[in-house]
Amino acid sequence: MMSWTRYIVGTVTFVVPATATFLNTVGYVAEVRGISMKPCLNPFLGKYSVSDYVHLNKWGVRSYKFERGEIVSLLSPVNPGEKLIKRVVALEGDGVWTRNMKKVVTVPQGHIWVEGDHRKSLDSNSFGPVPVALVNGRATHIVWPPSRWQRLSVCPLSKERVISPFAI
Amino acid sequence: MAAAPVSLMTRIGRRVFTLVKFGCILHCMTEYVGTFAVCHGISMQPTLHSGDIILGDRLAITRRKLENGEIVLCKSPEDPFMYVCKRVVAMEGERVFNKGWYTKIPKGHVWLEGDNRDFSHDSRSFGPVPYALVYTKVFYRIIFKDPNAPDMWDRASNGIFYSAISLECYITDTATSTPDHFTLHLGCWSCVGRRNTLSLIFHACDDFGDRTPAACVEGRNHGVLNKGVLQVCQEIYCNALQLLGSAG
Repeated sequence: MMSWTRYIVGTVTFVVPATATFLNTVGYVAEVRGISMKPCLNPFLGKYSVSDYVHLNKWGVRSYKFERGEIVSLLSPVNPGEKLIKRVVALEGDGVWTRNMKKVVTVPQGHIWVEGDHRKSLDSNSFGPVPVALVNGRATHIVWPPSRWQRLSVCPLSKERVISPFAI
Repeated sequence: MAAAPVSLMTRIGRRVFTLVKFGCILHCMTEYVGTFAVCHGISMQPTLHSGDIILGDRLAITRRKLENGEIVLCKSPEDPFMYVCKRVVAMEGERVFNKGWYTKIPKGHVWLEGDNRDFSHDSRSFGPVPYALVYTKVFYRIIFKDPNAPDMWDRASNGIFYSAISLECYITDTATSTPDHFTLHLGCWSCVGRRNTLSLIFHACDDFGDRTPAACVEGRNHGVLNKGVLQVCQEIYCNALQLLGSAG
């Protein structure tokens, strides 16, 4: 009887922290809610209640180096505890036109400009550039539903929105 | 009954398994319960000194039990590899006076300031910080070193510099026309960040052996780490002289 208790306690104290550590450092699969990344993610959300599940790679964001056009998941700067999934539009040092083309914002050091693909998206256009440290994963693949199984492509915005100091 | 012989591979395997297990438990502890850290820099003086060990309470952050006046460890909004240790001055919705006007803290943000207001790089320069960047609430401090020990300024934090360079300095005060002789000790260390961050702290050392900080200059993103150490020191030394001159 005692050995069984010991066995169960020993297994739980290993399996629970190991799983949590794995999910925290390597990656996990998360459901995408909302229409902010339409039509790239959740394209049918208005018609059917089927949401996409994406694989979030956490190991790859340790270096905090991003490309323009990648899809990342980040903690919301406005509602702590909420997670957002957005596309990286501009990196630090870039100038970026806001969505309504009213003004140019220069992205400060250590920040990125994130936007959803859909025009009704709560993103940097409302809360400004976000610190890179808020990013906690990179969305690499859609893993569910099987019909939408694909790798997520990196597609930067058109050149006229983003003014990069390193562009030729 | 004699114990069964255990092969070397099994013993190594068990040792590795134990290590992995404790690594995972440690990760979960620091991520969900609490953590500890070592302070560097002068921005939280006189509350915290370089070399102090602080204990952080992570649960207070996840349960949103943060109040004004508490010290937090927070990821720097300018450098994701760097943690800054500051005091919460205002929470969301409140107003703070900064640079001549009142700033309203936006939703989900906090305003952080160091206790050593003259030598602190905080919300007054980089603005309000998202609450999601706050890592732990600092609730306990362990002092291993006498804060008045003279060599505390010469410590290096992450292996970029391990020695302090001192430069003799003669500043002539034009108002009183009496030359002021003192040695500037370049106690230089980088902040805890790893990416192109270099902050040099200068300490005027007068005859009484007082080592109060005279100037603090941060070099960032100018490729400073690729230049020679001496060249950087000379450049920043000139800047510090200007700073000292402007301070009177």
